[in-house]
Amino acid sequence: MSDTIQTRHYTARQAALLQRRPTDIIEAANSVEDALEGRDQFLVHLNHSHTGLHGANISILGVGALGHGIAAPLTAGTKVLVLSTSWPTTAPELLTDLEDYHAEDSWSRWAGEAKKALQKAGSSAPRQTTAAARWRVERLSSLQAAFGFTIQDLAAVLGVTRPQLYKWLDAANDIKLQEASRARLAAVERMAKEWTSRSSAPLSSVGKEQLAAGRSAFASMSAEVINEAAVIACFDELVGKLQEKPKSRSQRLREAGFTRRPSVRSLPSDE
Amino acid sequence: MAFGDDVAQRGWQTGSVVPAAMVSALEQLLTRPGQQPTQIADADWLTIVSQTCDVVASRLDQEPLVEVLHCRPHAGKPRKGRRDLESTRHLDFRPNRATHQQLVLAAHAINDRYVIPRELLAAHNPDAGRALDAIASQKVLAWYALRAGRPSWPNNFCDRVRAVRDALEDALDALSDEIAEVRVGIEEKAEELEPGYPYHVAVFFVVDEDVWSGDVDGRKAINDAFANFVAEINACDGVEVNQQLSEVVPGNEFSWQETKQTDLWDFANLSHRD
Repeated sequence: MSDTIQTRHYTARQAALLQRRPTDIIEAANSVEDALEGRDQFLVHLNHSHTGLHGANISILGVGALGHGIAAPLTAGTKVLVLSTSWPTTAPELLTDLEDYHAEDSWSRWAGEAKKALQKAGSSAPRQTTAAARWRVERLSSLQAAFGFTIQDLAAVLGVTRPQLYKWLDAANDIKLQEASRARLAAVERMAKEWTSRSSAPLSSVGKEQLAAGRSAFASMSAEVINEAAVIACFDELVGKLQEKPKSRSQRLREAGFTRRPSVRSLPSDE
Repeated sequence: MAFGDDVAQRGWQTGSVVPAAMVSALEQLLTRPGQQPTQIADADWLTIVSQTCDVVASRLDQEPLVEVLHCRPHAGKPRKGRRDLESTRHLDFRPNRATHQQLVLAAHAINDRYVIPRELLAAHNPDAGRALDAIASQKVLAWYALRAGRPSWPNNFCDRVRAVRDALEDALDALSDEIAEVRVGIEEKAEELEPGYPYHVAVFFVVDEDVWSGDVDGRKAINDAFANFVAEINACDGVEVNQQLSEVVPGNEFSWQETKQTDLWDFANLSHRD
């Protein structure tokens, strides 16, 4: 790179178009833009500054939303300075002293640091969620709390695949559920409500046990068409089975006085 | 009187602070190779961090040395990333809320740790006005234990996960250790993988048995945290969650074998190169 560097605040794409930069920097900038796609007014800001004769300027590179820049210090001491305070709507501001610009090595070092910082900033940008997606995850968490099913079993109950359920569980996925999925989810929620009104234990503890009707609750719940009334009707039988379950070894240990040692993380916070 | 009894009678224990009168005798011992002796300012706390049983061991030849930690006051609150055992290298902590309500001390696990001859304790009493309280003492000991006991995760794995550290911390915000423990298995735990080769992890939220069997709200909080944690770590560049294996599981069903195949998730495990 032996060209001038014009700096300002620009979007990554503008930066790539306006500047003649090493390919890897452009790619890194573009990858940041991809990572931040859909976020309002997210800008990439590249600075390259120098130690001059009369003092040191610290090089920085930042990626951030307007007014919320993230800065990472760069270590390369250089000869040319480029600074920017402009906004996207203003013209690029060129502060390069071309006569001093002969620091090929410093540029290379800076370029390497810039690429790393861009990649890091891109990957650490928080993922966006919507209220609807968060609400969907909340509903699924409530179901898991009520039933205690494995992901595989809950997916079967909801009539989706395991990978699909993981997508539903990711609030960054703004998925619009199909009508059939919504109806199934609502039906399963109604059953969860019925179950939690009877027991605070998860249904999974007894969910696969054979019932008097000849089928387990889990089998009924994961059928292609759920007979809600029939499933709910078997809940009382399941509660009875729960009460008959023998105590686990750890429960017996606790009852005999062998309690859990508190973890160090339970010490009061110093904050 | 046995040597240890004398030391005990003087009141030395974990968390005791070396008094100013003793510091001058110690300064020549607080050295690093090729460096000037460490200066202990009046406001600094030179704190005993050996366990009390070692501090008061009856025979001097059994335990000839004790460990001390040079803690310096830090203006302001304990810093994020250094407080509450978030780093195995740095610790910001409140030494004694009863006697020094606003004081925050800072220390570095290695740079500020020294050993001194235990026999010096028999010639002085600990500082009467300063001592770590029980919680701070526990915290400092736990800090060292955490450092010694942490699993060694690949640097490249740590680098990749650090990019989403804040999001992972947020995901676990509502989760206390007393209701669930986060454990991860790393398939390539001994390998430094090049870019383009992902680490594969299995994530387990192991739930306290009582919470599992009787606390619907607790289970909901845990499942929420699990969903967020798995989503964030799976979105992390270069890390893939094994979705076939990852689960929320009751503690009475998570076996000893599985404990050995997984590591306790701790953000301090990511700090070894900070």
